[in-house]
Amino acid sequence: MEQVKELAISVRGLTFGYTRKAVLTGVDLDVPIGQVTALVGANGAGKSTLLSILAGAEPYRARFELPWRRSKAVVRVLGLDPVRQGHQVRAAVGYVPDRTDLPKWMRIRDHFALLGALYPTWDDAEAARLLAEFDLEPRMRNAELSKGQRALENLAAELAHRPRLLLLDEPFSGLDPLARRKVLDGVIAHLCEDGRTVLLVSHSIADVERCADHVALFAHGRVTRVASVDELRASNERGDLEEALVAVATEGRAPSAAAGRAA
Amino acid sequence: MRFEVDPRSPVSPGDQLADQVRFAVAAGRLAVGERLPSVRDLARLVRLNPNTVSRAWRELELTGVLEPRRGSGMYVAPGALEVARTFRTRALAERLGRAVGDALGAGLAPEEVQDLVQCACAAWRAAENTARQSTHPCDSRDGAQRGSQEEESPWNK
Repeated sequence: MEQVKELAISVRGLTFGYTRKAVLTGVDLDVPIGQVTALVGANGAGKSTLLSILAGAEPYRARFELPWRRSKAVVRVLGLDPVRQGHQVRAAVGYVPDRTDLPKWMRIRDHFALLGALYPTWDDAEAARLLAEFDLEPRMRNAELSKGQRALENLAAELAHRPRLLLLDEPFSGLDPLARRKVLDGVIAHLCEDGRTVLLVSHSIADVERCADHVALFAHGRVTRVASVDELRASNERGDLEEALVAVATEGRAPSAAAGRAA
Repeated sequence: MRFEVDPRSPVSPGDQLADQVRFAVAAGRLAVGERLPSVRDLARLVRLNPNTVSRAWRELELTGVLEPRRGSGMYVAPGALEVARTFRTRALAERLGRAVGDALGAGLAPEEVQDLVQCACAAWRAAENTARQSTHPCDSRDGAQRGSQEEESPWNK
């Protein structure tokens, strides 16, 4: 039904491991521009690793490869290669990892001053507006922020440079209801601007349902199935999304994995 | 009119919004030619992906409840009242049918079920009367709940 326009992310045959054991075992994933895709899957399935590769934070291959050892993986983020064109990718992508370690003494305004120097599209007015909306003060030090405030500060930092692609790693996990609602407001407001794409890792079914157009099921280091939220709901007779997700994740793993590879 | 999305509902958020529009039109709280909030405003208000809101609006457009006007958003279409009323009757017949099925399945006699429905109608009317006394009738335009219970009387006859 929906026209598939340009792709914000296109991944083919991506394998990756920190040691000899592969974390990603052949990921294929397409994320269309202007849509929200949720990556859903068990802990330790490799979702966070995939996000950090897409953000250009983790090289999935060497910058210069010997011709006979060239990786067959294709990774395109906004049409760019996150290894060879890492600078451009990082400038255009907003990446909120599940945790960030800033120096404890650092004030929010110091952090933002650093980012302002790094991102060509950084918007001071937008940053100030987001801080006010999230009830944060520029003079607050990292050490005095609660977990929820730290999550909001990270989100504000990545929204303030108005990235075309936003990668969110469990943005709602471990937050109190008020902070959760503010994160949701921030993400929705971001989506309300033209052509914004989001790839989101989340375990919260309610938030996936509110935010996502598509769900990509992730298991054993690869994407086993991509479906729209409505399709998934329809696959459960009571229209229960959580039940549907569990069913899809546990149903005969071999056939769905084969389908994922064929696609 | 007020929109809200209940995350615990088995109905998807987009369908919840579409249902709220159809019930409001059927109950006369939303008149033909009235303008609906823009996709972005509503998405922010109910904290929902704007794509989901726009899919709901598109479905309402395809079924003849809404019509787009160039450059100025969505309006209630001329034939909307009939479409919305048909939808309302069908949706509520289904909901009531399920409740009646539950009651019969639990061992109540059909007469007992009818009595219960009559009691529910009377209780609703009493509540409505007290509400009308305390507030001006024009102000009682909140919630799709009221529209849903109006439909119980024809079922009972």
